[in-house]
Amino acid sequence: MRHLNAHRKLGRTSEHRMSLLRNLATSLINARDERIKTTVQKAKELRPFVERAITLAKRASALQGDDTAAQALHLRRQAASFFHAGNQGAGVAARRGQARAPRTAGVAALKRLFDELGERYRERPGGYTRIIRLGHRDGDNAELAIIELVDNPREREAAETAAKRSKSAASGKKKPAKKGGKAETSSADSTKREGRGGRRSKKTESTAAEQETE
Amino acid sequence: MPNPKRRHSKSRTRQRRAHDALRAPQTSLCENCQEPRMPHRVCPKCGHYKGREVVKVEQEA
Repeated sequence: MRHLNAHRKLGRTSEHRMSLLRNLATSLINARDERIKTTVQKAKELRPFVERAITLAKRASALQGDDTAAQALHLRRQAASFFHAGNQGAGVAARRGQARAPRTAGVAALKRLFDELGERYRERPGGYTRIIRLGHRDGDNAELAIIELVDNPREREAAETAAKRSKSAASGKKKPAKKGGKAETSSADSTKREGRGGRRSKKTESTAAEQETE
Repeated sequence: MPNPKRRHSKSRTRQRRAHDALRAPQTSLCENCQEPRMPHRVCPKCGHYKGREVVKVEQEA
């Protein structure tokens, strides 16, 4: 029975697995649009992992009273273990006499976590990431997913434009829905979706017609 | 070592295999482009999921 076995091993030793999760967390936070594409299994393992780090940052941003600096530093050091942000291995590298590349990515992720994400998720009671399944990869048929931080800048931008468009749509032109069915949901992005859907399906129909005539 | 005593008829084999058929994966139509897609997954044709989200870049072939 797999009772009390909460996590996947991902076919790795514990050190390798920790390292992988740190790398994934770093990538997720540093990524330009705050999303990474990985396998569903890795995404699902990563989710609680990064969310714990984000919670630390959130707590740091909500600190009040005396002695906040010390507490913030402690939280930051705790959070550092979720990334390759420390200087472990420095001694080893020195002994071998070869310089090791500084761990800038993990450090940058930690900085971003505390500067930006802690503040952003201050009011959000958990659930800072979203996993979207993409289907299977050619080659090894592994199921892929996107894991992204919710409420990211791109998403906010999209929400703003949608809000603007809904205002303009309410005031003026209404697009007649070419496809029946879901036209009744009268939000702005749905009209946009219908328009696109109509265009696209028309295109596929036309290609189908061409194929028939050939 | 144990060995079969008698030949298996085609009928026996086929009766056993009568229950071996695989089912086709469940699909539904994409709300955006009306193409069949797997449930709870991004539409591979148009990259939409749950209405507004364009998750993948649309590729015009």
